[in-house]
Amino acid sequence: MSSAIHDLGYKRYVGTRRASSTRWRVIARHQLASAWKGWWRWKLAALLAVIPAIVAAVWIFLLADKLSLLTGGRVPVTLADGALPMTFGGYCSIAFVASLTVGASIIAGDVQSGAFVFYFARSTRPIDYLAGKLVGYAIVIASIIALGPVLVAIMRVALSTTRDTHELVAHLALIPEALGVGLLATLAYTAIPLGFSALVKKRSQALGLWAAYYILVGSVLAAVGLVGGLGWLASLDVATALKAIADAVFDLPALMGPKHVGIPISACVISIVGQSALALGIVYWKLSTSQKAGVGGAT
Amino acid sequence: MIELVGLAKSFGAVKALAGVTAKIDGKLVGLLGPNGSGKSTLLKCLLGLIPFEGRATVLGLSSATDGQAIRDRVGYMPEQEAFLAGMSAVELCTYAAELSGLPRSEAIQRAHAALYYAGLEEKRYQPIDGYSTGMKQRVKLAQALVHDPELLFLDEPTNGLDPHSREEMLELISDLPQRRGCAIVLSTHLLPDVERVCDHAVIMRAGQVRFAGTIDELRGVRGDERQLAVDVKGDADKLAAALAPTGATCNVQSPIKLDVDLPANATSELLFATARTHGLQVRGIEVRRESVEAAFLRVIGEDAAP
Repeated sequence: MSSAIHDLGYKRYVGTRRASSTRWRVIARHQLASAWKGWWRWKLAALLAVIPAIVAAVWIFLLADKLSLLTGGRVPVTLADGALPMTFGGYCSIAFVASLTVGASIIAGDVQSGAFVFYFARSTRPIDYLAGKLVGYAIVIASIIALGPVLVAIMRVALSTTRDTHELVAHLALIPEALGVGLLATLAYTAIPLGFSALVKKRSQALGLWAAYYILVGSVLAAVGLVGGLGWLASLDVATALKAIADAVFDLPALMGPKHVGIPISACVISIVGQSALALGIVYWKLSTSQKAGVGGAT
Repeated sequence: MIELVGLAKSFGAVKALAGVTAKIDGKLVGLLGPNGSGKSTLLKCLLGLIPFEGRATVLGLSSATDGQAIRDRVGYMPEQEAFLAGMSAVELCTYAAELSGLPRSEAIQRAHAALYYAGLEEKRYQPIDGYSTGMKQRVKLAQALVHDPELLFLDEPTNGLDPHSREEMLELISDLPQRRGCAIVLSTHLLPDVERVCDHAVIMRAGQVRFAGTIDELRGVRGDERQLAVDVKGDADKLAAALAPTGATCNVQSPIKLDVDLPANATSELLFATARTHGLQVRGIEVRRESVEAAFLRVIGEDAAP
């Protein structure tokens, strides 16, 4: 039987071990690597994200001075001016696709495969797991919803031929604004799906729950809120809240008419931050209870 | 290795651990007890995963305050599947080593070595999802020892294995303390596994440690010089028949082996004299000892099964 044992010259490890406070980086790197596996996850979303960038490029570089028909002719906004706010909605949709293919199943998948025991029998703390998964997945989402709009903003600035300093500064300001809105959207599309992922024990259930919340519940809330003049209710819909914030930051409400009038921007920000905080709280609670319950003998 | 002083843990009104005090040493320790005896809770307390009353130290570290440091120095092989979807064995073991603080290059090297040691050298690049039960058990062992632990907790390591794979797994477990210098705590339902590989045992019942010591101590407690296992040359039945009039009780095990219970106040001299008288030759004699299973049932009380 000894022939079954193979030892490649075993030596006890005597080097230093990395501090436990750095374990989240290992988890984040693993999360990125697993999101990159297979064509239908991060790669698909990244590919889709090219589409609004191309549309924006066409509007900015080829049709820059054409007037946008989206305002119904009421306001003389050019396609170049509208490129950023118009494409933001597209980036939101792609981020939602990525949240379905990558995000919603992260924690539920680990529960389903018994991975919590794998993590928590080691020196991994719930906060390490949460930080690692959150950062890893947030990078995936940010590469779409933050990087995309920033790219469009840079294209818009690059086109600017104005010699008016104030106008140039206004255009330059689009870049940090796009980054800010993108990061807020990243928070929403990262934290909230993870919260749903922590509520159930199967990947398919987590995916269905998040999709139903985003599409069905969100649409109902937005419709009732807008029709009933209850802006705060409409702001509970993630997509509507993000669009309203983006429109406000990119100066679109004045151009686009009353669609989002009545949705207080502060309510939208509170809604996004609040839902994200609640989701992260659920995840942390789930991880803490799993750490205590997930390891043990069977006999 | 492990010291427990007044270790207590309750879940509501249920006392999972009732003031356990014990010192657990040994290279291969069998952790035994019926369901609900407190083994899982003990394990969680030792790894510093749940708060408790009393004191527990593992490898000289306090479980109450140094849980993370303990878990870096301890390996855990769970009973249930604990894999990450879509990963190969070498990816999983590398990841496990990195999560225990090893640098990536070292982690990769040790992942290959651990999988090779566990007998998965040819299959280590394949996704674990397609592995057989035996191969999955080997991966679980490899991921538990990849970060070079000083103490290994193995939970039902031979569960679901065919006899050949079981024997190979037990061979690996027996080899670990010598080759890798780590101690092992083996939690299992299978008492023959404990008998086969362990040198120490801890038996729990109702939140208390009923026994902690060597296997010899466990089995030898009942050692009685009048209860003998005898090897004879020739016919064991003849010796049994010859001993019957002396009041001895014999149980023939095979043509050359029999168990003998001598009457009160008798010694082995009675056996030798009887054999001599009847022209039989005694080739071996030893005090009969309990099996681990019998000793386990005695310790926990015969109403409870493992």
